[in-house]
Amino acid sequence: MGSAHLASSLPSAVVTEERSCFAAFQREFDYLCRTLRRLGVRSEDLEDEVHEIFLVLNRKWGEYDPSRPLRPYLFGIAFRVVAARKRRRAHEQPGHFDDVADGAPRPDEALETALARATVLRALTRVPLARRAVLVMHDIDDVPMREIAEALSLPIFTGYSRLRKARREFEAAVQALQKRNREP
Amino acid sequence: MKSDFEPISAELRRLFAAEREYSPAAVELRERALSRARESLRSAPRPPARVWDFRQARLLLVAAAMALAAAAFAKRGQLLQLVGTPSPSVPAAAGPSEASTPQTPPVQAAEQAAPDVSSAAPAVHTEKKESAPVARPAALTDPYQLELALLQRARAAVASERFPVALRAIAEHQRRFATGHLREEREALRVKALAGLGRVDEAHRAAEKFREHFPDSVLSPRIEGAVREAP
Repeated sequence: MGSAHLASSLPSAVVTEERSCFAAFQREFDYLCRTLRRLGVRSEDLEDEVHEIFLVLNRKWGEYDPSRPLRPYLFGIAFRVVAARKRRRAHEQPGHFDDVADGAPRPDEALETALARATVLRALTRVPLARRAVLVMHDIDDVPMREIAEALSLPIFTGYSRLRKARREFEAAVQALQKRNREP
Repeated sequence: MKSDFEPISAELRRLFAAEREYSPAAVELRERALSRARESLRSAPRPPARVWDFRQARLLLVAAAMALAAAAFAKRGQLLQLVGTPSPSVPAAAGPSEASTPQTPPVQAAEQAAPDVSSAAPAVHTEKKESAPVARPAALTDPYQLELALLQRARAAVASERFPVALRAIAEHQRRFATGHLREEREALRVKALAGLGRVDEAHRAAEKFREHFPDSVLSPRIEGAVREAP
């Protein structure tokens, strides 16, 4: 019912745009949710934050150049939504490792992989958001620095500097976590 | 493929590789989110038209080129007439442009010479160029932006359990946008804020009103949950 009913009252150009925006949102939904988790959003806040991303995406859809890859563009929106939420909360606290439980591993999932993912999410909370965004885009999403700089509106050298620091912070957090896990 | 600017350790490579194999989002979360997105499209103001459409841009360029060529042609016709007529009393020689006369301003001549172009695209005036409309960045004069800003404040306050702050933002939204596009979200936040403050009777009444006004809302389960868990 939804999109057909929606379409009947709108000019065709607008309907086409909205459909393609909604289709992109639907297609990249899992990526968006995972990106939000990597940026420190708690499970219980996911629904609201991903909806916020959709609202922004829908407003800005006319500005998106379809010849460019979509995911860096989406990441840029997700980063700004999360950053705005943090600013509204007025203070930023370093994440606690236990805040980002990833849920139980799926039955068919190798335990080791699930534990690795939980480690990544926990360690990411120890990297400040601005640097964390660069680390996630570069080392997890495999986005070239030039595109990261454009998506996050950074000079390229700033991007590299943040990546370097973020890797150090992330590695230190991983070592702290692994040490904690080894303790009786 | 991006080049690796500084190689990372094997352990980090292993961890990042595992993280890339993330599980899909929960089905219920996906369904609720997509439903909310559809609802937003139904109730929100239309997004601004695409600022830069490449097909439109090509059309405009072709139109501009043709108009300029026509203007140049008309000018040439005028020059030829001037050259061919040493005194004003001699009738104008037949010029290459049938549409132009010595009295016809170049702009009108260009438009007359290229009627197809002017009907297909905005006319390009040689004296005063009108640029294509540019979408202004969304400012806080846009009612939808104002609504959104207010409710973001309320939602952030609920999330950080500053329920009195949330209720103030909700009251302001009610005052300014009683029947606004985001009234469903507003009323849902009202229930949560009242429940959070332990004002259970009021939360129940607000939830009942919500169910009455928005019987098919995807936000209903969360509201019921908030009321149940009220201190």
